[in-house]
Amino acid sequence: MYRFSVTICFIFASLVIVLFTLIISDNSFKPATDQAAVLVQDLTAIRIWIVVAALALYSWKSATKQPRGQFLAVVTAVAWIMFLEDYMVLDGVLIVASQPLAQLVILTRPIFLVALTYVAFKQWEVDLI
Amino acid sequence: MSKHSNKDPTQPSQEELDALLGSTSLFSFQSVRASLDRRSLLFKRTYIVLMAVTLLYVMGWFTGLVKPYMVFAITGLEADYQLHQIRFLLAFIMITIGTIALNFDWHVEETFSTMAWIQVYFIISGVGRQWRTMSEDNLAVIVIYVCNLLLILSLLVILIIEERRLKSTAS
Repeated sequence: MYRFSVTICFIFASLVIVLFTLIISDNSFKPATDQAAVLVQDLTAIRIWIVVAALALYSWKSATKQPRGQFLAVVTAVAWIMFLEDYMVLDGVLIVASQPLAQLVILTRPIFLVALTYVAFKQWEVDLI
Repeated sequence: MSKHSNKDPTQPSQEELDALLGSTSLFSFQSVRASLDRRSLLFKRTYIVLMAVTLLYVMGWFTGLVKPYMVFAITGLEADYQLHQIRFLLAFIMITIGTIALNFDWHVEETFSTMAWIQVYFIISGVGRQWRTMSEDNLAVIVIYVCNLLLILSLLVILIIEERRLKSTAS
């Protein structure tokens, strides 16, 4: 179950990276308003680096068998905060297009959050033992 | 025969159960003051400053004194106002969680470390957004914004370092 959840997290992160790369490079992603256009640029520019950094750090910590409960707790908290911000403020921004990939990311996001939370709790248990 | 005595040797007695529950950190509730008294003077003062900053901010917000200096007052974006409200609420939730962690003396260092990293996220995302959105005339607002957030971050870092020091001296 732990590995399955980790796999879900990796797949979601990959989808997000691909989506954000498309948003930056492809003009077909048109936000609804000018305000949304500004926000989506800002958010994608920052968040893509957060996702990449989190993936790289997790992989490095896993490979070197370092404790990563604290790291996962931080990543989980930030992921939930991003979700809250998107849901309450930026829903008209991130739900930018009827692109299948964007819809896939939106649909799989709750699954990712649950999986990430599970991984964080499980890892915390492992680190304590 | 005592009513608490137990004939079955495989079942724990009431005294054993009490001892087990008593040793569990989840039930070791204490006041924040007692928890602070066990820590260094610097930790105590930093925590009080953190609370004072929070209180001043609430007072400034509800009296309307800080509103002209807020980002949304300059950008005029509704999203900035909403983001501020959400982050303000999240900060209060984090302070509550930190206080609960102190109350129970449960993973204090880890709790404040997580809070510090979330603060780092707020700084990076907030400054990144403003840097692209604001004109150079409003650079002072970005500087004030960064100083405010860095003050809170530095207070959190002091708390983490002091808690780590307490742990290392205790072990």
